[in-house]
Order: sequence, then C-alpha cells, then structure tokens
Amino acid sequence: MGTNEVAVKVILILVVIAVAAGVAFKFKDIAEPVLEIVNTMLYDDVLDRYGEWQLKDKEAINSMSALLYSVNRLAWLDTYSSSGWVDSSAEKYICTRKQLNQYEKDESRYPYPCPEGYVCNIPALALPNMPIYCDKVVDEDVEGELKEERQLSGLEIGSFESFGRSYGDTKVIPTIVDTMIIYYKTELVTDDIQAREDEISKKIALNMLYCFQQFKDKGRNNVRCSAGDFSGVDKKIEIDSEDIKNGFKLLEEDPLLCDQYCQDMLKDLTGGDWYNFFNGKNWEMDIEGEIITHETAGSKMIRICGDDGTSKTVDKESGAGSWQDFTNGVQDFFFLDRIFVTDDVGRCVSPVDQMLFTLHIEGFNLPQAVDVPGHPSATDLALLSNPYAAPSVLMSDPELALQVPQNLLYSVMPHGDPKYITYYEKFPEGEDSSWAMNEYMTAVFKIDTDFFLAALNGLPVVGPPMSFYLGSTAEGRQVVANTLARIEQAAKNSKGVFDIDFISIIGDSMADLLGFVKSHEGDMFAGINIHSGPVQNYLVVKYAGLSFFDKDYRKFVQDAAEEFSINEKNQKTLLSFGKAKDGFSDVYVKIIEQYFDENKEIIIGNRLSPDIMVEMEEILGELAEDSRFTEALAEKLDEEIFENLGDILFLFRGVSQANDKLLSWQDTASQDIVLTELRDMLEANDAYIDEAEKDHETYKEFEDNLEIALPMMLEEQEKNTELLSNFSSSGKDLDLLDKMAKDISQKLDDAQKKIFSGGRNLVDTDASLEREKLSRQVLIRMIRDASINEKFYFIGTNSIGLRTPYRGTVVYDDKWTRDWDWASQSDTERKDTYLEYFEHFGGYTDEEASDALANKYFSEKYFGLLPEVNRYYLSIQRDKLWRWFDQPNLRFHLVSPCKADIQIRVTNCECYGTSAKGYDDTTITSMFTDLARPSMYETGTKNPDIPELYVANFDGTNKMLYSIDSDGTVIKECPPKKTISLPWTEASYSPTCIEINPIIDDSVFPNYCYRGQKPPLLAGADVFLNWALPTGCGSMPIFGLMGGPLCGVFGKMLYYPMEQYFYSWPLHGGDFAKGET
Amino acid sequence: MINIDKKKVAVISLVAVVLMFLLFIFAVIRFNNLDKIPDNPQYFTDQAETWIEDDPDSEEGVMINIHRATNAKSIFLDHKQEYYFGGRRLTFFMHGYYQGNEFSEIYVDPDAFDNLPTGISSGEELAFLEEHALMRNTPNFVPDDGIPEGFIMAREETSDEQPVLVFYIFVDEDWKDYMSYTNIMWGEDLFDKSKMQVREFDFSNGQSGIYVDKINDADWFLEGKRGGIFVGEISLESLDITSQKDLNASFIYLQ
Repeated sequence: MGTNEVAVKVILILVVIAVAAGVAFKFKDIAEPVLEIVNTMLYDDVLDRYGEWQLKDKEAINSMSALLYSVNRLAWLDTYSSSGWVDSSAEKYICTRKQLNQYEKDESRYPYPCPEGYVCNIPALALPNMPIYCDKVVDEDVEGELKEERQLSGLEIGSFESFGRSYGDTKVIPTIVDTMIIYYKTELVTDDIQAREDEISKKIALNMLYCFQQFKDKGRNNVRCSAGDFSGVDKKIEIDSEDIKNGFKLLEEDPLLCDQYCQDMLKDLTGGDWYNFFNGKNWEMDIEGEIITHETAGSKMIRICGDDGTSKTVDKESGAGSWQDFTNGVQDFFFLDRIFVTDDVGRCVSPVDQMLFTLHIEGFNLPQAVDVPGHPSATDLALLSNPYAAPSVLMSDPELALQVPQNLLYSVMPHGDPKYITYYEKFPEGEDSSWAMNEYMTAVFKIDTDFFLAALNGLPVVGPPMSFYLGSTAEGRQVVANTLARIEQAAKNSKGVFDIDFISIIGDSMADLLGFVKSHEGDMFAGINIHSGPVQNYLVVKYAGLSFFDKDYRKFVQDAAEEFSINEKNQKTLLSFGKAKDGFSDVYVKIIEQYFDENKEIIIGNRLSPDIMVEMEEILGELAEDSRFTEALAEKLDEEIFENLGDILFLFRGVSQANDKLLSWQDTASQDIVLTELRDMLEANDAYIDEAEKDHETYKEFEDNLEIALPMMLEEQEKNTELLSNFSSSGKDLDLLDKMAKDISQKLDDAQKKIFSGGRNLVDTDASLEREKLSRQVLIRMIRDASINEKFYFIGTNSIGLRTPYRGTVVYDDKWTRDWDWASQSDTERKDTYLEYFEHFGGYTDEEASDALANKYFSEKYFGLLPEVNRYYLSIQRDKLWRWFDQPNLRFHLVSPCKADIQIRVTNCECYGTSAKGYDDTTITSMFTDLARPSMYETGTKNPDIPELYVANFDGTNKMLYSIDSDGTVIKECPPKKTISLPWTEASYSPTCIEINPIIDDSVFPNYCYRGQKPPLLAGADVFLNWALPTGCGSMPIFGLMGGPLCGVFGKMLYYPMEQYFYSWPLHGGDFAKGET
Repeated sequence: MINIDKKKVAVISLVAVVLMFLLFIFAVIRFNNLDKIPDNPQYFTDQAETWIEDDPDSEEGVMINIHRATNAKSIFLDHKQEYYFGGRRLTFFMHGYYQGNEFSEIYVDPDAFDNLPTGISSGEELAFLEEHALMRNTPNFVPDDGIPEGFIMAREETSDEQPVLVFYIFVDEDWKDYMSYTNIMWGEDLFDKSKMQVREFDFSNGQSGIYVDKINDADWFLEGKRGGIFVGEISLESLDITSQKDLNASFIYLQ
C-alpha cells in the first residue's frame, strides 16, 4: 500500500469519525448520518447545477430554460419597451416605464439605458407615476433645449422573430393575443368543393374589407383587425390568393352584402378599374405555403391586419431596428396601404401590441413515468360519476368496480412528491392535496374498511341492515370482495411508498462494506464498527435518493492532500489525528459553523477564521501551520458547501424536523395500536372473513405490511383521532371501548419497547435486526417528510425553483449570482460565465449583453430571475372551462407529469386581503385554507412588526401584500377572493403580473400540471355521498345511532375512488381539456 | 451652324404634347376618381348604438363590438377588460351576483347539475349547463331569452382636450324585466359610503333590445384606486350587508 493511499484512507477515517462525533455534539441522534452526508457531497469538478440537471433530464431542463427565458424576456420588454411601444399620438416620451418612488431614487440602482448623448433625468423628488425623461447632455450655457431634445431611451427592441428561441424540442414562439377571432365554417350543404371555397373566400374578403375600413379610419396606422380560426372549415378546402380575389368579386356582386359604398371601398382595396391603376392593389396574402386550410387555427392563426409598410425596415435576421420604427413610417399613398392576410405576427405591429404581446412555449414538458392501469370508458365513468347511478353500476359491473379504485392506488407516490415541482417563491399551500391526500385516502380507506367491517360484525345493532345491504346479498358481497381485492393491491403498492428496493440496495451495500472492512480487519478500518448507526443510516440516506452527495469523497481528500504536498512527517501527524478525533471533530464542526451566522444564513466565501486556526494548531501541530493545507481544506469546503447549498439547507431543516418528530413519536405511536386493536377485533369476531378465506388472506397480507406502513399511518393521527372520537362519542358500546383501552395501553407499552428500546436512540449499536429495519424505515420516512416540506420554504423574492424529492430546491441562478461581487469582479474571467447565464436565461444577444448588461447587471446583486421580473407577480391561470366554476389564478407552479403548451403574457392580477397577522407555521395545510392565511403585510408601508423594514410597491405603482419568513425572505402574496366575502367586505388590489397559462396536452395521459377543476358532476356526488347519505341514514331509526357514521363511511368508500379518478395526481381535473385564452 | 431637323422636332414635340395630354387625362381621371373613394370610413365610432352588432355565432344574439368601440385599443379576456390607455395598461375585472350567489361570467342553475344527463360528452355537458344559465355578465347578449344579461365597458374619450375614462353599461330586455330595480352605484372607495354615488339606470337609450347608460366621472381608476361600478339591485344600503348569506340581490360589477 502506497504512502499516499494510506494517507488518504487515514483522512477518510478521520473525517468520518469527526463528522459523526461532531454532529453528535451539535444535533444528537439522527443528525449524525445527515451531516455525514453533507460532508461527503463532493464533485469531481466544479459542476454547475444547471449542467447537472441537464445530464439528468434534458426535457425538463429545456422546458425550464424556455420558461425562464420567456418570463425574463417579457419582463424586459414590458419594462423598457416604451421606446418601441410608444404611442405615436402621445406627446410625452419617457425613458422607461419603470416607476420610481421616493424610497428608491438612487440612480445607480436603476441605470436607465438612455441613448448615447442623453442621460436619464431623475428629479430630486421622484414620485410614483412620474415619468422619467432622457435629456440630452448639453453644455450648461446652452439651456432651453431640453424639452425639444427629450427622447426615448434607446434600447433596441428587435423584431418579433428575434424573440423566438429553441431549447431542444421546446420552442418559444412570439405571438399576440387575438382580440377579434372569426370562426370560419363551411355551412353550405353541397358536394361542390368550389362552392364551399367561394363561401369561405367571400367571408375572408368581407373581413378584409372591414379591416381596410379600420386601417383608413386609424389614419393608415397599423391595426390588427381579426384572426381567423379555420378549424371548422372542410378539410378538402384550400384557399389561395386567387380564391380571395374571387371572393372580392363575389362580394362585389352581392347586393345584400355590398352596397355602393362597399363597392367603392372594394375598388380601392383591390386596385379597381383600369383608370384607377395608380392606386394599385392594396392587399396581399403572406402565408407560408400560400394556402389556408382547416389546420390554420390555434397558434397557427391567420390574421387580417393593416400595415403601413414600414415594418419591413427591420432586419429580420439580426432583429436590428426599434419597434418604434413600425409606427413612424411615412405613408406611401399609392402603394403601401396594405391589408394583409398573414401568418406573420410581425406584420402590423402597433403600440397596442404592448398589451397583446405573448410568448408561446411549445412542448413544455416535465416528464414523469406513471404506470397507469386501464381505465373505464367515458360512458362507464359518466355512469359511475352519477351519484344515483354509481351504486348500481358498481354492483352490476364488478370489473368496473375493480378498475376505479385502481386510480387510488397508482396515485400513491413512492417519494412523497411528484418527480418535478417548479414554483414561484414558494409552493402554494394546499395545492399538494391532490397527492398528499392519497396517503390520507389510503389510510382512511383502510381505516374506513376496519370500521365498516367491525361495525358489520362487532355491532349487531347496526350490522343487520348493513349486512343485508352488502353482506347478505351476492351483489353486496361482490362489492366488498372487490374492495378487499383492491386492498391487496394497496398492500403491494404500499411497498412502493417505502421503496423496498432501497432496502435491498442498502443491504447489498452493507454487505459490500462489511466485506471490505473484513478484508482490512486489523488495518486502519479496525476502529470502525460497521454496525454503528451512522454508517447504516448514511447508507439509508445515501440510497434514499441522496447519492448525489457521494460523487467522489476520496478525491476531495486526495486533492487537499496533494495540494499541501504530503510528506512522511505529515503522514505521522495525520495518523495521530485518529487518536485526537474528538478534538478534530470540534474543529470541523466549527468550520461548518463558520458558514452559518447566528441567523443560520450561509456565508459564502468565508475562510478559516483565526480562532479555528488556533484550535487546529493545538491538534494538528505543524501541519496546521502549513498554509497550503489549510487553504486547500478551506477552499474545498467552500466549494463543497457552495455547490450544494440548497441541499445542505434542506438537510439541516430535515434534521430539525426529524428531531421534532421524534419528540412526539411516542404520542403518535398510539394510533398504530388502535389499528392493531381493530384488526384483532375483526379477526376475532369476523364471520364474514371466515366465509371468504381469500379475502381474509388478502387482508392479512395488507396487515403484514402494517409495520412498513407504520410511519405513514402515524402521520394520520389527527384523522384517526377524529374517527375514533366519532366512534366513541356515539357511546354505543362502553364495554368494548374499555376493553380496547386496556389492550391499547398494553400494546402501546409493547410497541414502545419494540421501537424505542433504550430510548429514542435510532442508532443503537446493539439494536436487533428487526429494530434496525424499523429504524431505517423511520429515518427514510423522516427524510421523506423533510423533502415534502421543503417546497413550502421561501426560496427567495423573485425566484423560480425546481425541485425533486430528497434534494434542496434548485433556484436557477444560485450558482452564478449568489457570491458574485459584480462591482469588483466584472472584469474577471467569470464575466463570460455570467454573460452566458444571461444569454441563456434572459435571451440576450451578445450585442445586447455587451451594452446593456455590462452597464446594468454588473451594478447590483440580486437573487432569482432578472431584476426586471421583480416588478411582477408570477401567476398561473388554471381551468377556465366551466366559467361558473372558474378556478382563480394562483401563485405560479407546475407539477409533473406535465406536457403542455404555455402562453405567457403581462397583465394585472386580482388579489384580495389586507395586512393581517396569521399563523406562523409555513408548512401548515389547513382544511380551512380559505380562512386561515399567513401573516401578510402591505407594500409601500413600514412593516408593523419590523419597523426598520420597508418594502416598496414591487411594480412601483400598485400596492401588494407580502409575507416574510424567519430568515427575512420576502415573498409576494396574491390570495384569491374568499368564498364567503362580499366586494365591499374584502379589500382587493391589482398588481402587475406575468400570467402563465398552461394549455394541457390532452393527448397525453396521464397529465397533471396543476390541480384541475372539480367537475360539476363530482360536486353532486360529493354532496350526495358525503353529506346527504350520512345525514339521511342518521335520521332513520332503523340504522340506529351508528347509522350516520356508517353511511358516511360507506359514502366515502364510493366517493373517494371517484374523486381519485377525476381530481387527483397524476390526472388533471377529470381529464378534460383546459379552456384556452 | 447646327442643322436642326425641323421634322424631327415637330414629331418629338407632338409626341411630348400627346404624352402630356394623356398624362393630364390620366391625372384628371385618377384624382376625380379619388374623390369617389371614401377616405374616412368612420369604422371606429363614438355612438354606443353603433357598437351593438349582430353576433355571428348566435342567430338571435347581439354583441358589443369592443374592438370597434375602443378604437382597437382594448380586449376582453377571461372576464377582464384590458385597455391600452396613453401608454399604460389598465385592467378592469368583471364579476356578478345572482340572488346573492357570486359568479364571473355565467351563473348556472345549481339544480341543473342534478339533472345532468349521463353518458354525454364534455361538450354536450357544457352545452346542457349553458342552457341552464340564470344570469350572464358578457358582451354577448340574447335580449329575449329570459336570462338577464349585462356588461360594463371602459372607454377612452376626450374632455377638455384631455383623455378621460368613461364607462358604458349595457343591459338587455330580460334584465329590465327580471330585476326589481336597476341602480348604478359607483365610486372610488367601497369602504367609505360618502365616496359612493347611486342613481337609477336610464332605460331610454339603446337598440336591438339592449339598453345603454354611461358613467362619466370615474377617473379614480387612473389613480390606481379600486373602487367599483355596480349595476343592478344595489344601493348604498347594500354596503351595510356584511355576510353573503344576507345578500339576496342580483347585480354585476366592475373593479
């Protein structure tokens, strides 16, 4: 064994031991393995996250790039486009539409890009809504010209084409919102194709004539008149320019449609008679392929518009030229009055386009493979969804009854959250109920079944009618049998929740490690107890999805060692560290702590402090004085923490949550015992199961998995408690409850001994294999919980995050901007990297970057999206199909599987609420989220709780509410209207928004993206099964006192599978297409 | 001495004269004809009645042509009207209440859900539910279908040579028949009665079964104040109602 290798292994051992001991010092118990992982998360190279994601899932990263580019580009255009969008009739020119207020008048914060020779004239007192002018730089003695010389700021906007981008198969297409859509349909009933073409051509000609009128009425300024949707046109029809010419002729010959005035206009439009030849033809067809067919609809809309001809002055290749050119051109009286039938959105650009401009992302995709079982036909579903028809369908069609609950099963996710979740600033609370509920449903489904069957068999007063309904008839038995068959599937699926493969992987890895250690027994590894908790749990965490931390642990140490030129003396010193491991661990912990100040904020760019050096010297002797070693170590740590910042924060929070969980563990354990008791009751008294051995076996199989499912069940303690309280409040069988209480008490004791023998030490070296197994389950569960909760943490103002389970949320600029000292480093080699970032996410060209970016973006530090985006709130437009049940806009978020085209545009949002104190728990998911809201404060005022904090109106004009977390991170808030409020009882506000509107690809199944609208028919089923049925049963004497609860359970059993099918991840809102704007 | 071919000169002169004559004739014809071409067609009009057009998608329907009424400066999308006003984007949100029940564009009879036929497509389901609409807040009207319909539209006009914001209110014949009374309530602060005004809707103007009224003094929108314009069974006393269950009125509003 070479010297270097020995040294490396020694260091390896030392670090492992040090971390284990160090963490014990800091977090105790299970913190050890978590921080151990932190300390091994090393990469071969300084890989950026973007690159890493790119390697892992190209579709997702391309889609995110397209999204970020679109948001950035829209914000940039909307902020600076006054130069291009300016209304030609307006007399006032402003250098930017960004508004200042009196708290933000530092010009350096807003380096407005005026043209060369001009400066932005910010008044001493800049008030909201005050326009800021670009003034010409003149000698002091040449005054009086300012007003005349005022100009627009000079950033060139570029042509429509220049805004397009491609990211793999995902494309960003610039377009506009169409205001007047004409639906062309072939209405003639004839086989004569020519006649039907004439019909459409004539209608096109008529709309062109209308457009000609508009164009002239606007003084020959550009105007967008109408957009044609030809999807209703016969597929055989193809319209070319000759057909349109013929349409004009047909229109002219139709006295009902075209009077003398119309005919005069037509002559003007078409070029008219021979003596009118000077006028020329005033229309043009400009369509790729030169024909219109039924396919020209949606994003391929054909538009009719008036264009004064000057738009051609813009170089389409380079995008050079300002949009203002479009509206300031000289009219050519004879030849340039053009009415276009075109698919070129760059035609007819006018100032109003500022309002209409939209970026369309084609092929956005956050993929996730979901194993979907076959699902019933639409007819079956319609029947099943009818509350009156559903019971009979279930009984008459057992196959259907089997299929529907399957939807409940495949929605159970192994990792707690879908594979990809992207969101703006923070994931909106409650929107995870589509999949979080699935666990609840699984538990409730099981618990309901327990109660249901227990009631049938253990409560004779209630049993007979229910048994008659379900137990004593063939149909009823079939329903129950089918239900139990689903439980079998649930049992199998429940393994997925904890991903048994992980356990086997862990086992394999442990065997490998054991073998390795055995081969080195007596060697340097002799001191490591392979049965120790940290090692095992390290593996658990590692293979629970955190393997990215284990890139190349050795290389880190090796690099550090090589950089300080290890020699024999140092080797001995290193070996001696093994004996001083405790001391070293203290130093190591302090090093880690140096990256966190008292507010737990990360301090990047830190180096080893003098205090630490003193301590290191005591332990390391001469080696610690070797600057090469300490520098190498510090730099490695720096890189390590920086590169994995999000994941480190995630794990630290996970540790904290896990400790909290442990503290309440014994209390929650009781619920499992309740379940066990119910199972025992069932087995002891269940005549039904005696008769249905197969179902019994199925049930047993599920029960056998209870231990695996234990942590999941425990989390449902509130729900279970609620059910139990319902049960006990009925006061039906006190003796039974007494018996249960005694048994539960005993079993609680047993369980605690089983789970926590020796206390809450999950890493007990003497743990039995069974307890080790359980410990691993618990640890996975805790990490999983931390992963689920992670999306509710604020990721920063103006940030878009993308996360997958078991990792910190990736915020898309944290690598390139967090530690960037723009003022001092702008000339360094990192500048290129930084510009590359902007080009990629902001969509800037090199030319733009060299001018605008160099001046602007190197002058201030920010997090998240481009600083211009901070003016806006990013919202998602959800289902609009049922206009009486429209979903309100929400904070932007998308969830895999998600295949959609996305429309993005600037608009205003409607938000409700006032500054108010609320709950502090950021992870709370209340049943009453409509009523319970977090603490929120109003922009433009001093924060009432933090007087030194002032948050200006984000868009400079409109007030908005915001929240602030314990770290001081501010996020914007735009709550929807409370359902119980009136317009004059709840204040509203309307901030500037970037609205992101996914149009879900309904050819993809399953496809989720966001929680869809609950179908109206399901609302009916909800009322009947969850409300009317239990109420009705409760009021009928024949059902006794338990009638209500039992019918409630029965209703839920029917309703939940339906809801699962229509409403829950990974399906979207009943599989109906979303309305497109 | 220069030899001048007088014959050539004469021919050239003749040709030039003929060409000039022809050019003159063409010019006369051309400019004479230009007078016949309507140069100012007045598509974008100021009279509210001219914005009420036949709805091409509905046999009996009429529509408010917002494009025409607002000089192609406004769109109505997702129950909100956006207006390009002097370089700014103004957005107005539309809502309504039917007998105390809130809606955005259409309020549907809740009983319709219970009678929803089974085995129909989502499109048919949509059509079925549309048939059971009880009130609409839309620029597309069917004046005599028994369903009260109304719409409030922002428009830029000029007063004292300054651009101002005004609002046109359209209601149909069914509205007039259904509502127990129709008021217009408007003002800059819904939480301060003193800043709200009320008057009766004027049913004397309109055409094609659509009645039009207008609010002139609503410039508070330009100052970013939310305020609102309400039309229907609404009065200042309505502002005293604090619970939705106590509200049994029908109206539409814009904020």
